[in-house]
Parts: sequence; C-alpha cells; structure tokens
Amino acid sequence: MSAAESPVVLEVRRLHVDIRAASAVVHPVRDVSFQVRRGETLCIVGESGCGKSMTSLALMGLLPRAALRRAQALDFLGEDLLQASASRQNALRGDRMAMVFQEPMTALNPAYTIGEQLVEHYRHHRGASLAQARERAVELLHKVGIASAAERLRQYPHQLSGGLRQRVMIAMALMCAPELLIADEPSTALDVTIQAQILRLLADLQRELGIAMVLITHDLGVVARIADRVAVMYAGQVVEEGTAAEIFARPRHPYTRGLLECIPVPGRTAPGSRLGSIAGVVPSLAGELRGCAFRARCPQAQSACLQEIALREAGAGRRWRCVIDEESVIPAQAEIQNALGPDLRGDKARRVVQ
Amino acid sequence: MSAQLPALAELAAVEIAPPRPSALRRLLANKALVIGGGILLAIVVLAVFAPLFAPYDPYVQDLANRTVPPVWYAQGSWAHPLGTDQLGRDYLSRLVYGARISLLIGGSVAVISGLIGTTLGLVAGYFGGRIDMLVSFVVTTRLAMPVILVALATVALVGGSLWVVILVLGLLKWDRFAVVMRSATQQVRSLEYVAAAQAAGASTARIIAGEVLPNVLPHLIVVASLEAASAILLEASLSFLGLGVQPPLPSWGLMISEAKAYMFFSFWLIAIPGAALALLIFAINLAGDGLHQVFMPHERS
Amino acid sequence: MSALLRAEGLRRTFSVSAGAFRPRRLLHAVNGVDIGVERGGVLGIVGESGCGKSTLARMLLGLTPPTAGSIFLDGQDVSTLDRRAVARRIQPVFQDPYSSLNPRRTVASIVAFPLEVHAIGGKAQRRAQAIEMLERVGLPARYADLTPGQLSGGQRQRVAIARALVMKPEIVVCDEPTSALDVSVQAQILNLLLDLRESFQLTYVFISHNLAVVEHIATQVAVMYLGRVVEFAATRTLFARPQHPYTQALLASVLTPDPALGIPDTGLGLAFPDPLHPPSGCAFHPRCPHRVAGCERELPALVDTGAGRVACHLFPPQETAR
Repeated sequence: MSAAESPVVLEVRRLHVDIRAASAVVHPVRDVSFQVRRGETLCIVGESGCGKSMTSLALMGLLPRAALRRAQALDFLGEDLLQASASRQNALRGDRMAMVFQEPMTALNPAYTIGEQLVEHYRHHRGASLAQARERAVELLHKVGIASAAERLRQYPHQLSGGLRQRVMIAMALMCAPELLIADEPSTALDVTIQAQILRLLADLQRELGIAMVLITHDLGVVARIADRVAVMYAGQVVEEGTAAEIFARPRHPYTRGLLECIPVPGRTAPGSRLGSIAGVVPSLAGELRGCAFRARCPQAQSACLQEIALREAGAGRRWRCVIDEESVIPAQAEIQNALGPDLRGDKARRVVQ
Repeated sequence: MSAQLPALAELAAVEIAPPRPSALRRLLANKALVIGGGILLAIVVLAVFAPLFAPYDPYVQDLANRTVPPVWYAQGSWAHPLGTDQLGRDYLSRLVYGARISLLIGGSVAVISGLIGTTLGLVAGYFGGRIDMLVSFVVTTRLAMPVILVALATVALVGGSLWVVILVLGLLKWDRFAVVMRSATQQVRSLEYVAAAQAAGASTARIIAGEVLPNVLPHLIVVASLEAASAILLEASLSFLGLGVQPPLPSWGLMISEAKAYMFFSFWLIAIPGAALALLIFAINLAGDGLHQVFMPHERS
Repeated sequence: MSALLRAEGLRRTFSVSAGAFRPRRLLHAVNGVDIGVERGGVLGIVGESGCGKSTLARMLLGLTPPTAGSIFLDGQDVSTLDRRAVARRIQPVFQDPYSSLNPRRTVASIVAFPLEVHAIGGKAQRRAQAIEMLERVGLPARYADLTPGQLSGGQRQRVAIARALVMKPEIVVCDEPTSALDVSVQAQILNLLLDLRESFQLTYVFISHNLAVVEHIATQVAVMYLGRVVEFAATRTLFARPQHPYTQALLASVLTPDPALGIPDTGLGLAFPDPLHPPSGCAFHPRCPHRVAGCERELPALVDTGAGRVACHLFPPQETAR
C-alpha cells in the first residue's frame, strides 16, 4: 500500500465531457474529481454507461471529435493538460502517460511483428537507435514475464494467446517508463486464470516501478483485490470514493451497497438464494441532470433527492453523494475468512493427497 | 430491501427506448434517396403514362419535317418541343417511349439476375462447405467471362431484340448478387437467433425464408438498384453498337447511335437521349446510395 | 443415477486449416465426455476458452452432430428420436442478448416462433401464450409489439428466456446467459432463472466461466479442460474440497470482493492451452504444479473418489472410495 504522502501524479477536478448529438447534448461524464498518487492504484468501477471509459479517454485526450472536455483542473505532474497544445499532449501520451486497452487483438496491429511495434513506439518518443530500442524491448518483455523474449520480437500478434498479447500491451505501455498507467478493463476479455496472472503482473510492476495506476473495471472482485482507492461511478458521476477497505466494509451510497448485494460470493451468499438486485435502468444522459441520478432506482429515495446533492466527506478522501448519512456494514472480514475454505484464500494450492 | 420485490415490480421504473422513427420517415429523411427517388419516380410516371405525355406516335415518320430543332432554337416551334429526328419522328414522344424500354430492361434484368444470384448466394452462405465451394466455382467461372463480349456474341448468333437482350443480361449479371448475398448470409448465419431457430426445430427452408432473408434484404435492394442501372447502360451500349434492340424501337441507346452521324449538325439529336440516360442512371445510383445509407449506416459505401 | 439428460463418450472433431500449404489439422473440441444431469437439477459446466463447453452445449441442443458418442434423453438415444420432438424438450438461452433475437421480428413473434414451428394452436392462441410467458419473465404485455432494438440487454435476455420456455420444455441449456450483462442485471436474470426453475420444474445445464455464478445456481459442477471433463462433483463438495489441480487453480482465481486478500497466485505459469496442439497424456500437465512422472505419458481416467469424479494421476484407479 502506498503512503498517503507520496506526490500526486494526476489531479482531476470537476471534469465534464459533453457530446453534441443530433437532438440534444449528452453528458457522459459529469463533475468527476479524483486524484492519484505515485505508487497508488485507483480503481474506477461502474456498470456500462457510467462514463468510466469516457473518463479515461478524456484524461488521455483521446476523445472523439464530437466530444468536448472541460474541467476546473486536469493536472499531470503539475502540468496543466487543459492548456497543453496538441503536440505537447501527443508527446506526453505514450511517454509519460500510457494506456492499456481491453481487447489486445485490436490494440495490436496485426500487420506488424511485436518487435516492430515495441521498437517504433520507443524510437518515436525517445529518438533511440534501433539497437537501443531492441534492448529495451527485450528488457521489458522479460519484465512482463515473457520468456525467450528475443524470439517473441519476431512473432506476429495472432501467434500469441490473449494473455500473452495483453502482456505485450503492458510491455508497450511501459517502454518509456511512464509515471501514469491507465488500464481500461485490462483483464476482462481474458480467461479467469490468466486474469489473475495479469492483475498480479500489474500489481508487481506498479510496486517495482512506483507508477500511479488508474484501473477501470466493472468487476468488483478485481477492485477489491487490486485497488488502494476506489471511485464508484454512476450515470457520469463519481457517487462514492474512498479506500478499498472503506468502500467494501462500509459502503455509504445506496448504489454501491446495491452493487455489493448483487454479486454472488462463494461462501457468503447462500446458494440458490435470491441475489440482491437494483430495480430499473440507468437514466438518460442527455440534457441537464437535476438532483440524484440514482433516485429512480434507490430504495431509500426521498424528496430531498430532487435537489442538488452535496458531496459529503468523512475524513481524507472519503466522499459520497447522498442525502443520507447512514452507515452500512458488510459482515466483518473474519467471518468471511472462516466461511471460505483455506483453498480460497489466495494461498498456493496445497497438496491434495497423502 | 429490493431483494424482496418480485420480478415484475423490478421493472416498474423501466424505460423503453423511444420507438425509432418508422421506416418511411427514415427513408424520407435521407436526401440522396429523396432526390434520386424523386427523379426516378418522375421517369417511371412518364414511362407508365407515356401515351398521355407523348404528343405523337413515336413511330410515325414525317419526312417533310426532318431534323427540326427543339423549341429553344430559332427554327424550333412548340409543335415539336424537342424537335424531330432524321426521319421526322417527334423526339419528345420517342424520348418518353424510350423511357419505357430503359425501365423495362432495368427492372427485368434486376429481377432475373436477382433471383438467380440471390438463390445461389443464400444457398452458398447458409450451407457452406462443399456447396459453397461449388457455388464459388460457378461464380468465379462467370466472372471470368466479359459480359459485353458474351452478349455481343449471343446477339450476333440469335439476332437482337428486346427480349433477347433482357434474357442475355439477366442470365449473365447475377454475379454481384451472388457474392454480396453470400457474404451477407454468412454474417447472419453465425448469429445466435439462427441457432435458436434451429434449436426450436425449424426446418431449413423456414429459417432461410423467415430468419435469414428478411435480414439480408437491405443488401439485396442496394445491389438490385446498382445492377438495374448497370443493365440499362449495357443495353444502351449494345443498342448503340447495333446489337441490342432493333430499330424502329425508341431505345435511348439506339437513338444515340442513330444520331451519331448528325452529331455536329444537329447536336440535340444526340444530346437529349444522352442526357436522359445520364439522368436515369444518376437517379438510380443516388437512390441506391441513399438506401445503403438508410439501411446500413455503419458500413462504408 | 436416473439422469434426465446423459452424454456418453461424446466427441466432436473439426478439421481446420493450419495455414496455406499445410495439411489440415484436427481440432478435438470435445474429446470423450460423459456427463449427466438429474431431473430438476442444475448441471454447471465450467472451463476456460478452448475447453469445449460451447461445442458440448451445441451438441446437447442438436445443433451440431457429434462425431462419436451418444446423448440419452430420459434413457432414449436422441438419434433414434424425432428431431423436432427432442427440440420441444430441450431449449437454449444463449450468451449474447444482441444477436440471439431476430431484429426484424416483434417480441411477441419471437417468443411465439417455437409454437409456430410446431404448429401449436392457432395464431391468436400462440400470441396469447407468448404474452403470458412474457409476463412470467417480468415483461408486461405492452412489450409484445416492440422490436429487440428498443430493449435493453437484460430485457432481451428475458425475451430469450420466454422463447425458451414457451413450449414448456424439460431442459434448458444456458450458454453463458449472464456473461454479457451488467452486474445488477445479471442478478435479476439469475433470480429469474431460479424462480422459473421452481415454477416450471425445469432442469438446467448452465455453462459459464464465472465460478461465483455457477456456485450460486448449480447443484453439480463439471470442470472441463481441453475437451475433457477433469472433475465432476456436487457443487458444495467441489468448492469446499476441489481435487483436480486445475479446479484448485480455477477456484483460486476467483476474485471475491474481499480487500484484505491480495491477488492470488495460481502457480500455473505462462503456458496456455492450444486445442490444436494438445499436450500428450494429461492435457494439463505443462501447467500443473503437482505434475509427476507419468503425467505426460498417459491420459488419466475419470475415477470415482467418493467426493466426486476426478481425472488425475494423483488419484489412481486403485484408490476406491473411503
């Protein structure tokens, strides 16, 4: 876990994204604020349509042309990204801030070898020679756990499995030793066993290189295991923010609570029982939003929810948007530990038979 | 909490997506389709009601009034608004009746080649494997043949006439239908609603007719419009070469051919049918483009 | 076991091209599978990509003919029965709500389609039955004349479920029915499936890569790896005491929402399973942390150990149930 005192790498204050559609203006991202420190992992979690992917694109300056980004502040290592010129943003992108996407097949160009893509990337940003770039590529492929790296350089993306391709994507992102890594659903398209490996790799690399990481996902299990801090998004807003321990043990926002009750957890939810669920659907993101976006689906909605919802705070970085100041406790960790067998604790598998 | 609510109430706050504007509305909103379709419709009306629009019989010759220029020339008059040709036949009348021939050709060839090509494409796309190989072989063989040469040869052997031209073109121009429908069918074939229909026990014929065909129809319509335009041009070319429709039929291609000799003296003789042909082809292509945009907005033209 | 649906020695092999100028290779998608499900039970089938679970589902549904082996429905060999009669008893729910409904049909017409195919009732009656089924799955009658494009993913999946149930089948084969849905919608659909199982006395074959969901809904679980079943046990037993090293790795990879636990180390290494070039002997041996000498030579047999069935050399056949 990172010290709360390490320097802030990314500071986002009141970020908005507006898209001008045929009939109305759509606001996929509304008033989003967060910060990420060196060596820290922030997970942005939410369901489809919550705006988490748009947020990541807004950070990297990769929004579609029709989308407009505006914010009170968007600082990367003290530099104001909002004022930065297009060429400056280009220089930063891929060099100091890197991104890993969900689909490794479409993110890697199938017409070029792995080596060519890694090397081109490095040479473009650092002006290195081919030999230097090659060396760096091999070094990074080793770092992401790919053996016989020199051979792999000559291979094409289709010759690698999904897990290996994602490792290559991570290697490419790390070529220029960025300070910030944004990973958008990096393990969602992978098999379950590979997913664990990729997440472990990201966590290890982060610890070793001291990178700030923003990981975007819809999977609360991933969030719990890898996040230091969590931002829960709904309908374009951050509805709750805090450390992973706080969010999972004491979720404050009804949406977060609802989400946690939806997931079947082996050992905790009784098999065959009804899972909790959240009634209704996500509201439209077009036009202006008054009051709480979740009120139509909230079991605790009241008249106050129609007004502007204030951002409540409870200590450093613990914020949520709700009129209710109620606590809700999820069963203590100890109970969960006892309910699960020892095999499910993430220890190495023990010997099976005597 | 919400865990106790029955399934129905869970949807109490459900929003239904607003109904998409009806097909007609979408069609009317597309400019290409409206303009192209409008011109096409005008030509169709002209052709269908030719006797109403044509002031004279297009075959009647008036040798005393040969090559009279159209009304906007000094020597022209409203008696013959578009002048007369080298045999004194009223040009406006010939033009209007010529529209019939062009549209008849375009429509018939599209229908005949559409039937052949779509059947082949559907079968190849749906069944795959050996059947696909066989059909692809047939298509490749057909593609190896230059349509114009085969048409010329056939007409030279059998003699030219409207129906010969329609048959020859119809039996030759099905390749694009086959190729496009095959690929469209393959795409639809792999979708899960086809598997669901199979799992429900539906027969192959029912699946192809009820599940596949309605979903590949947009592709069919677009290709049909392109092939119709192409057929019209081909017939005009054949007639121009003297191996298509025979005189005295007022085919626009034939009119252009007959006007060749007078090109420098009576320019309108060649310009008017030429312009009409260009306008018709333009209208069909524009409408086809519009249809493509309406039905398949995500695909590049 | 009085299995309602049973597969014996099921195999499915595809011939795939391995590139231009190379001879075609054989892909053994399903390589000798024996499983069954009792009436009223829920058989969960788990495995990762390339394990053959989707091909197995298609064979059970009659969409793909097996290369070898038989399927028995209530004791009768399915190949001897009328295809359409079998279709009335086994129906599917597929993964992708966006491609499992014909976009050109209305919701009511989609749900009534199986009735139409089997000429059950007249037009009005079919529509009435379709609407009744829609209401049972939580979609009010006003949805009947909408098209799939106007519905959300969860709503479409409900339509797919209604379609599967309209003929009152005995077995529903669900191939990843909730994988493409949001978490909150997934919970609704799972609740619905559990309710319907009770109301209609259904038997499910539930295929998923999501172990937490399978643990929640299945009564028995079969774990597949590269075309074979490597472990088969009652759900509780499998999750409490997984025997096969692959099952252990799978369960260890399940990320429960527990911040105190870190990211598990499955100990599997980098090798990945390639169905086109399966390893010799036990297909799992290159990645197995408990590999012994015989593993790469011989294919282990499925052995009954009292706590379920396992195909692993760590459980030799001589060891009978304690």
